[in-house]
Amino acid sequence: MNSAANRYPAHLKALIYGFISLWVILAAFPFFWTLWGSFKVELDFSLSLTGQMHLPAKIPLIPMARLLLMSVMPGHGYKKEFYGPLLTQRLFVSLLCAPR
Amino acid sequence: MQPARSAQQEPLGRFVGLDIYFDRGHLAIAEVKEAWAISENWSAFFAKLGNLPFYRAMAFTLTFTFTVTPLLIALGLMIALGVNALSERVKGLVIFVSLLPMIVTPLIGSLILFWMIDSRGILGNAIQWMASDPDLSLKASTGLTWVMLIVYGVWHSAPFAFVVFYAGLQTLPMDQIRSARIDGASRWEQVRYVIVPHLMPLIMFVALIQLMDNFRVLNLLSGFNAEAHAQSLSWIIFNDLGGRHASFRPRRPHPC
Repeated sequence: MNSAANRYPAHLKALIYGFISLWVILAAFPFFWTLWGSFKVELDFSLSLTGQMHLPAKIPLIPMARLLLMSVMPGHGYKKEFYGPLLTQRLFVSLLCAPR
Repeated sequence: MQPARSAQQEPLGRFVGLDIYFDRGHLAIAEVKEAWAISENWSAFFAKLGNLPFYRAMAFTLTFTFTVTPLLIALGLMIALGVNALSERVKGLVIFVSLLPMIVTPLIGSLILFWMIDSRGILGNAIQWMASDPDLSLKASTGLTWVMLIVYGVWHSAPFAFVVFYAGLQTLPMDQIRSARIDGASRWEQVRYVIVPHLMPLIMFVALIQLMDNFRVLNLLSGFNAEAHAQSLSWIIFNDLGGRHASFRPRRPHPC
């Protein structure tokens, strides 16, 4: 079945591409999620058993941004209402206190 | 001092013959007879059968087999028809991604999904949010566990059906498609009356292979830690032969 012999109408083409896109997401997402969760930064080990995060005063920018992003994504255990203000404050301090 | 035990009076063992297959852990003939005698209706009878290990495993195995097999055939055919209609530029990438679920071994794939449906995982969290029930747990429900196992079975096996049907679509004679189009057949009628009959030998092949594969389901139950909610015939055999505990059996020191 070559493409020249199959001229699909626009709505059917949209349906086909939409279905295939959904299938690609279903097929690949578990592996992407496993890969995403396998990258740990040093701050991931700062959580104590009580859930309190012991953060240093100065935190590198990229790990900080990652923690902020994870705080708004479900399934990582980082509660936005708990870590959001704390991490925002730390980010502000990190940006202000330039490394010497 | 007690008298010496007579081997004839108190034998260490006895010959059971085929009786071992009729006990409660296997065919449970006596228990089935009793259930049949005291049950007032079919649902009560099947409820009592559900308490017997062999029949409980048979119920899950048959449900899994005859639910997953037709679903994966239908899904594989839909994916094959869809991929066959894609642009050549994206076809290779889509085929590669479509085969990923089949590449990973069932034990590892089921473990990944096990993490995802955990209450701290992305799917478990999302389902709790959608149901507005923070205590909802997929792993605590037998019915939902069966559903998750079936979903994984379809997700894992659909790529096999897809790749077989996709190969079959390349052999489709275009004359028949053109004739059908000239005769005024719609796309659905072309699929139903031209494409599916052409692929029927491959559909039968995939159905037979997947029926056999799904009937011997075992790795999923370990990966999902679902033995408390679902047992399969293979799992019962594995458990019966002591395989579950073999790895924990201590090695005996060599007498020399």
